[in-house]
Amino acid sequence: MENQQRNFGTWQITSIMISSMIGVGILTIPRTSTMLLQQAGWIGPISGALIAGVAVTAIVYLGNQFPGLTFVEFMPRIFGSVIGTMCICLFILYQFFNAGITARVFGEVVVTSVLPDTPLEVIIVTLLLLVLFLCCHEIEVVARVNELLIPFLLLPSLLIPLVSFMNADWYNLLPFHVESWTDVVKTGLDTYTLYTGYELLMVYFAFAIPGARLGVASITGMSFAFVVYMISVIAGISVFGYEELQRLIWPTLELVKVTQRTGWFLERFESAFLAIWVASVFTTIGNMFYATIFSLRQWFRKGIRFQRISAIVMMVPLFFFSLIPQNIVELYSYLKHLTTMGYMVTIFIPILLAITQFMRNKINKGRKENIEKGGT
Amino acid sequence: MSQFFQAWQKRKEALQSKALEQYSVESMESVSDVTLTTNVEENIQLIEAQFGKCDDLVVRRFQTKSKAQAAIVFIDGMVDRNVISDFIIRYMTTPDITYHDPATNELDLTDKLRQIVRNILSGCAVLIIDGCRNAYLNNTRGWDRRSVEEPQTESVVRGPRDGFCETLCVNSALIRFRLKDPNLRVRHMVVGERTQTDIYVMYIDGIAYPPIVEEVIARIESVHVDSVLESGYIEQMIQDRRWSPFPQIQNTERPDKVVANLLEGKVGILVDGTPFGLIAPAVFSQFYQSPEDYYERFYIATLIRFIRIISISIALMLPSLYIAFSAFHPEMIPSRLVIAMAAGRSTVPFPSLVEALFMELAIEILREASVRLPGPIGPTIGIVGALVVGEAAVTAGLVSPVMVIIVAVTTIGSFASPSYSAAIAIRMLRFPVMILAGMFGLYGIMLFLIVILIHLSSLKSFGVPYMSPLSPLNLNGMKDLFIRVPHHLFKTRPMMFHVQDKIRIREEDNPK
Repeated sequence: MENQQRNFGTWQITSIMISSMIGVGILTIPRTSTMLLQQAGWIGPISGALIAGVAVTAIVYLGNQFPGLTFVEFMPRIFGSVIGTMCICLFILYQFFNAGITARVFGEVVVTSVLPDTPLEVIIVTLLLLVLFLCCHEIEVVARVNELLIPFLLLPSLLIPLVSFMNADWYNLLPFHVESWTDVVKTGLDTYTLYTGYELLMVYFAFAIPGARLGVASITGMSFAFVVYMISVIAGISVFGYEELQRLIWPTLELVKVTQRTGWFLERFESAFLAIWVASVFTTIGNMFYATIFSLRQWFRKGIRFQRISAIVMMVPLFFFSLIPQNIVELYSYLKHLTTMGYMVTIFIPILLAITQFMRNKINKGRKENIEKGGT
Repeated sequence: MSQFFQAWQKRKEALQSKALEQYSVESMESVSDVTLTTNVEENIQLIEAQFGKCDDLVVRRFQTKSKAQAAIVFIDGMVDRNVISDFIIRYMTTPDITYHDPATNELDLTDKLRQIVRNILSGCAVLIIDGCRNAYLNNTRGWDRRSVEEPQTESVVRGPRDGFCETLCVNSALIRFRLKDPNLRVRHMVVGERTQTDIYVMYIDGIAYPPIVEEVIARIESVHVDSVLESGYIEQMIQDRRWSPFPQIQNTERPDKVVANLLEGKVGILVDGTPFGLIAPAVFSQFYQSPEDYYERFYIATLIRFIRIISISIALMLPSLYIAFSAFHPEMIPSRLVIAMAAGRSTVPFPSLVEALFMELAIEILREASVRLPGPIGPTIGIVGALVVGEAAVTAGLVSPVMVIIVAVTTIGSFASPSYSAAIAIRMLRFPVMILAGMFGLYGIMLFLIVILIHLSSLKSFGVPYMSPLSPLNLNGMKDLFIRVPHHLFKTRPMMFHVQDKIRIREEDNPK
């Protein structure tokens, strides 16, 4: 879009990245990463970060190659219009489903832990209305909202594990030994989903002000998320031990529950934690859904009015989609399917795009040199 | 939806402004653009015809020293009578004085009836002499004005005690007196088809960002209303988002505050007839910043800022937190307190939302009543309301004792904001938060906070994001956001207003 100003600063890009990554995943991470690796589960976030890091590198490369362009504009340029369009569709669908699933997971958590008498639908509807309100604004508002909500997001996710170290039994982390490295890779493929959200940068990088350091932003974002996940996993293992973790649906929430009587004026924290955690879920879903709607808007080359109307229209199927899973077990099996789709969108497509673009640059360079040689 | 609404709004406005322009053209055309004749009586009749039967129009006829008939026309009460009798009539009649013109400080000649009528209406005395085609327009403006007094709404412990008054020229002089910079520019504008209110737009050339100044002037020019009785009219007509509860233009009674803001590259707007000046663009920090922060030592200034931020948060959220905790999350309150609270609430027949709404409503009524009451009775209402009604409500079992404490703290908290019009936005938003807290507990509070945050992030005041320097993050601006760093560290002006001259303290002037 030519009329959009490119005014996202480096810190804004970083905060978009952090808040898109940290969402509902943090609640389950201690369980998923210890499932195979057991007491060495803290390797999970590392291997996940390594896998995600490759894709992030590819996205940063693309962002530098196509300054001011979103994936909607540069995908057809690299892959040609047919495959490009398919990729765009896939990307938009993935974000759409991901937003729905995330909203559902959030609703389940809230209903089971703090508001047991409230219907699930009400929680999802209110959250989606909030997202809808965000989608009615221009894209710079998204960056500012993310920036303002970062403290709400980082404080609880760093503080809660740190406080819960009071109950830690450090022997739970021993022995420092990895049984099988294939398990590490398998866990990595699972835990990399914690970092999904970075693919949204293919949209938001386009609005970085010229001169913004995309690489620095994504490294900072990745490391923030990495530290948060790492601390949560270590706290989970050291407090509960890996056997017990397998029996908890949301171990991080349990961490909050065991953190009582810290001498402050509040006795139990899970309600406060969940209230503040609304901010991080909201930014995750908001960024995803905004990216979906905004990509549609760009694809059809329409204005803000189209964006508002399509946000309202898309909200209805999103709501019904999020209600399809009948229970938590089914919900997590849906999430697994989505992860498979996610490999395609968040890893293969960016890397393929980057490789193709890299090759093309090489070839073009070669050609140019040939022409220059022929010319002289 | 809002697009449609805006379009509709714009159309309505266009129609309205068209009608007003039409009116203004008609009314000015009715003052037929005739020129004066050389006959005094004819001229007086011409002028009197314009005013109709107007009894405060004074016409004083006399003979000049050269035995020519002359007359002075002015409106009673708007002129300085001494000037007229001593320096116009005496000068023109005493034969010893060889000087021919009246000895007033501003003198103009015209034969256009339209201009004469306009000048009479703004307090000039018009002198017509027989045989002379031109009339003398003497600036004799001088009506009873309130003297410069201490501002009522923004009092400080340390700092200047003078505030704006209702007269425009006095107000602009109060600013000039503090800012002896020849680069201070004053643009005069007239708004209001019927009231013809004078407006000064002030800025410092070389500091203010020219596009912002142009934008302010263009927006004031585009205002077409019949009357401007207070600067609030201008403020609400020129702000960026008219449907927002947050003030996007700051208002103040303090000249020192206006000067400080001019030096930060903002634009000041003074309106005749009101002691409230406007400052644009405004950012969110106006909610808790006071001029006093810069006059006291920076430790206490910073501490007080944090206290103000806390009290604003209390004013916004304390009742809803009480509702959320007592209705949804009693497990968060320490057990002894929750037992005490439950004991206090045991006689209360209502849910905590109703209880809180009832008490907040009562306190709002008390506030409004004590503002309206004349000075000496006002505090009585406060005592009756707070002590008697609160105590009686608890004894009667209508509300719990904790609720009384919460309402009292909330009300006191809302008074701690140095800007009244900013504080009423918070005061107003308290009610939707309470209702959401009654529906969803802490989750509802958070939802509403995020809605406010989204709205605040989308606000802009004359192109400056409302939440700056927090978002977009500007480290230079952070020096004066929450903490107020010592003055010697304010080496540059805040960058978010795109100041032209960035340097505040030059290094070479301060050798170490």
